[in-house]
Amino acid sequence: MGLLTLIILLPLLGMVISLVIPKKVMWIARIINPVVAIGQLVVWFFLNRFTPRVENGFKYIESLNWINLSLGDIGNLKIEYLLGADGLTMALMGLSILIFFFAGIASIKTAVKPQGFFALLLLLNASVMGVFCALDLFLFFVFFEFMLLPLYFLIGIWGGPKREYAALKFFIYTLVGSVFLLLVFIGLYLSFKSPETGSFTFSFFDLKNPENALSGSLFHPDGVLFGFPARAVGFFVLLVAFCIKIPAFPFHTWLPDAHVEAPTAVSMVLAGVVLKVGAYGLIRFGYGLFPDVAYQFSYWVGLLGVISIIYGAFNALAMKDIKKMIAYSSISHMGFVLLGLASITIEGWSGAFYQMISHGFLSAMLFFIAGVFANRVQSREIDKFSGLTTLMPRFGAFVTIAFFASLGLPGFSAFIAEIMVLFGAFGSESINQLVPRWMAIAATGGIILGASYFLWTLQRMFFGKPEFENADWKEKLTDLTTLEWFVLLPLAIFALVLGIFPQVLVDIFNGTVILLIDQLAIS
Amino acid sequence: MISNLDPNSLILVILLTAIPFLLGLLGMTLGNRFSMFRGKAAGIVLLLTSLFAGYMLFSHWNIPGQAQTFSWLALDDTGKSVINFGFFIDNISSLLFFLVLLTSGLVHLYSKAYMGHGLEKNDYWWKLSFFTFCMLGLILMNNLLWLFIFWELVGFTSYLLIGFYVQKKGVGQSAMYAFMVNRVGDILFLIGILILFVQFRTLNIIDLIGSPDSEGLWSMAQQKNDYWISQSRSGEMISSLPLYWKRICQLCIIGGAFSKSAQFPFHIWLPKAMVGPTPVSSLIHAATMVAAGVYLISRLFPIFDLDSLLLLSYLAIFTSIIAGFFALAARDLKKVLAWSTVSQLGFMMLALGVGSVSSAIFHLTTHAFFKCLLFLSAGTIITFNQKLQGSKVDAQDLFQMGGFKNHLPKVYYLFLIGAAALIGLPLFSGFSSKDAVILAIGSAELPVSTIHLLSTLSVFATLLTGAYVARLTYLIFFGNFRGVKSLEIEEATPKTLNFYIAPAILALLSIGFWFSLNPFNPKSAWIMKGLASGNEGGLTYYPYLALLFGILGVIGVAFYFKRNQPSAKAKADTNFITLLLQQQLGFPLLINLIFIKPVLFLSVVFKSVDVKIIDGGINGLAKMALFVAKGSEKIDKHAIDGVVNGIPSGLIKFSKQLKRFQGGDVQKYMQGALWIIIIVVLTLIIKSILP
Repeated sequence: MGLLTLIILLPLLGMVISLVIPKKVMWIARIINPVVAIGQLVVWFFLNRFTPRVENGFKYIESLNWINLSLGDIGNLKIEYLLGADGLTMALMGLSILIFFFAGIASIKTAVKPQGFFALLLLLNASVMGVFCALDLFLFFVFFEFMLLPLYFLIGIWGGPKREYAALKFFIYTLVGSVFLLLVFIGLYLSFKSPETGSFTFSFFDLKNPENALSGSLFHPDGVLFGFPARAVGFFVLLVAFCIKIPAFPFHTWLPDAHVEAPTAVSMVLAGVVLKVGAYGLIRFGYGLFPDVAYQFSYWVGLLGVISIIYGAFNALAMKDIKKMIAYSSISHMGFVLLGLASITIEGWSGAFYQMISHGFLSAMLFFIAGVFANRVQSREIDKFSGLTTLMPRFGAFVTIAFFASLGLPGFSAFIAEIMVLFGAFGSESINQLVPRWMAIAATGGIILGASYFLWTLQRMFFGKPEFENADWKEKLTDLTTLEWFVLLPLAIFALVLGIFPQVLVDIFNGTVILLIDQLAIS
Repeated sequence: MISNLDPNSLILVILLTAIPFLLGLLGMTLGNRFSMFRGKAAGIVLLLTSLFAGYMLFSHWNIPGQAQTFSWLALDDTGKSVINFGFFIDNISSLLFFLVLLTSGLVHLYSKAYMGHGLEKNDYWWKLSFFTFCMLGLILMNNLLWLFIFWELVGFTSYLLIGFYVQKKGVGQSAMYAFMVNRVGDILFLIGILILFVQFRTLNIIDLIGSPDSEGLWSMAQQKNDYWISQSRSGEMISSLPLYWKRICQLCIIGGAFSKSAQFPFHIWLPKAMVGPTPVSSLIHAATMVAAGVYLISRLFPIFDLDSLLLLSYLAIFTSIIAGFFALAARDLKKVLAWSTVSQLGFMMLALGVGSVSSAIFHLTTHAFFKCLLFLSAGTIITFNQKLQGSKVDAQDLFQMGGFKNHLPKVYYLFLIGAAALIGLPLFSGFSSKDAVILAIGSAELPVSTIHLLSTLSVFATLLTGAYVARLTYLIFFGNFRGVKSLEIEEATPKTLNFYIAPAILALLSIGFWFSLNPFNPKSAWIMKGLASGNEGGLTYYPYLALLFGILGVIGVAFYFKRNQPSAKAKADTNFITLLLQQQLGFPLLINLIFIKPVLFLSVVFKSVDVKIIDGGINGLAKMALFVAKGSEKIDKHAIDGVVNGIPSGLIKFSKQLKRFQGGDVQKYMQGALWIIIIVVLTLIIKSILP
């Protein structure tokens, strides 16, 4: 059994344990999420240690035949259990493991149906890991869909008052994305044959080489669909499917609702990990399988990114609920990922990758902060608070750190990511004429707006005298507990370390970026 | 090529920079457990550090600049996407390094007296030390991105310190306002950096601007057919941009510098910053941080062409004059000093605009000392006035003061020295540096008419300086006390020695002797010699005019007050023009109207777009799907069965269904969504089958 499989199996094992554990030893179920994450982290370190800096494609490939059906004349239906990891996978896996660790700690005190909650969180963990390393399209799709299931229940059962509406909205949006995804995947399957076995294939390695396409088939470079080049349509459909997940304007409206209703730990995972699946899919399958048409869409991808940045920021400014404000800031920040990808330059892609990781930590931190309010007074309305620095000085310090880190203060990770994306986006017109320069300049406007909504929130909630409508809030709003410290401090340190020593993270994915950019440049 | 920093100096620089950082770190993490890392001890440590910095200044003065570069972030192997970290030590940076450490040490020392002992003041110390570290970093960096990093961190610590009195009304808003104005400037600076990086693929300052023996990439770049083409040293083309980006780059960097140095139109944040503790105002918002813009332009001076510099000059002198007027009208002691700072920064910018880096840095240095002195004196005055009148009175209101000459004699004399230096009276430091600036205008490479215009305006600005300094001094120290005593004067007088040590040292440093042995010839000042730039000759009589008008301003105000005693009922003193000036001619209102209001308005518009159009569209789509689902169900049940059962019952069922649909029945919802998908897919399939 390979190590990647181990990373996927560990949470499944944990899930079984948490479900069968007797009520007397419930504490085991409570710590099972962090423990599993630590186990995964050990495996991850072991994997990462042996990943050389400049790496040529995928490592640790695990390949097993899974489904093999003979379909008579058409050939064999062959679905593989195919896993592999490159720099991008490693970076995102590392992030996800850590976020699951902190989400596990954040949810340690879950009161309602705790076992189910922990089990579902672990199931989510396993499917996310699977998504990041599955290289067979069918397998990817299975993991991708499996992600949906625990999220739907986690929001729908443990969520806030409007949880059912939010869960359903999330479900439908994602389902539409999945249908699009499936259409393209099936199209790809029917268009490609493996050069070795001669049968249709879902294998990423066979599909990424257009020479394997059957002549006359849909996704052959000459294929046409509705009068458009079919490969362009394929990329476009994938773009829409993954933009729902990222989420980018105008496919984003599920996110604020889902976040507002989701419990804290689920919000952390949703923003920290699940949004990255969208960007990951776009990179791996959008850019990876349709490199020849990705160029033509760069302008539109960049435009979606810029609109998301500005639009998300404006909306965040108007929000009255701090969790909604953070949700819209996520949309704004994920816009930088799209903008960076659109530039197809080394700086832009490094920035996009960096932004994914950076936003993972920072959004988890931000949503945890929103949870701190909700835990104490069951309210997150910004205008109802004031003067919190005086009541909760330590919490105030962490909020200041999280807000300033998110608004791109140098010294924190988001700054590095944004600056790289901007370098890439601004340089693109000189290097490959893909993204016009005004997009980079417009994106800087989003950075200014970012400062305004974070600082305005800070000013309204933390400055002034601690005066509240409800008299008992003064007693309820106590400073951080040890547990909360234990979540916030490491997240702040991650953001800080990644902001000062970016090479630590860049080294993990740098080889992959160079390789991917080279491949894109060739086609 | 530029030589490497010798190892000893490198270690010294790193150590000296690390000391305030460590002080900050200890202060932050140890909290109130070890008070030794705060206040006096920190001040003394920093003063000792500044002695070493002084040694470094002495040993590095007039030897060619040295740099040390380390690899920080490398994205590819070809070296085209590499950002370095590095130090650059030359005359300017070693001078400012010393200056920052010295003033910071003095301000730490003074803060011990001013801030008192309260435990809630804990945060003050580490923030102040951390600011010092960031400022040192800003000065030393050889890479523009790293300069930018410290540039923003300086703004961040400034935000923390402006917002120090969290509970006070309006403090949060002021801190945010100051940070946001700076942020806009920072983004302009960032755009400048983007352009430089894309065009030259390096952000090392020395590579960009060159050194005495090798040309910089900026000046090597060529202009061809409206394109701006950069080349490497070996003559290969690096990149090309349309020519207008060259101008944008210069203007963006000027914009960044203007925001930090509070020049028009970014001047609005500095008076807001005055809600912070007074020692903070003296260190950050008078002596060091606000000078960062001047430093930036000096550092990147070779990239600015004459047109950009001329624009800079006009804006700077305009700022200087309006700030002079504002200072003349302000009621708040600290705001007068803040406007005075803006006005003097305008002078430094003007010096840069006419091509004289040396006089700009000279004025920056002398101004740092005497303005720091004035602010620290103001701190003592405010402390005294607050105690004297109780906490209900606005102790910074000039019309609540008067006659302090007899109550605070020591402060009075210290303040007079600072005031004399600010006006630019002979023998004081400000005299030489202001002379240097005005001489530089006279010898600038500009049309004679422009020179006369700029010189005349700057003489007018000195007239204003004389006037507002005289008004300030009079209102504080002369006349009758206009407030209400709630305490005996003896009790209210600050006695702690720390109130006087730092100002006394700064007063000593405001004497012209330290800067030039011949106080009447600014060219003989060592700073001017060390940073030689600008031209000789030119018009030399304007400095005398400036001195004359400065004194005239003082005399004029003295006569005015002789005839109109200021009264406590300050309203009587407020005429329309004063009011207008106190409102900064309505400029902040204009900013509010054309920037802040529209942004907030847009945010509401975008919110309703999100709720009504996008989300509404999605919901509408879902409802439509639901309707279709109902319809099919109905056809199934009613169109066929209904014929038998009769239409009335069908209608009842229909309305019931509608009710359920409004309630958002979950299962129906999902069913509907599936239907929509199926319909879309079917349409697609049918479309592809049809020819």
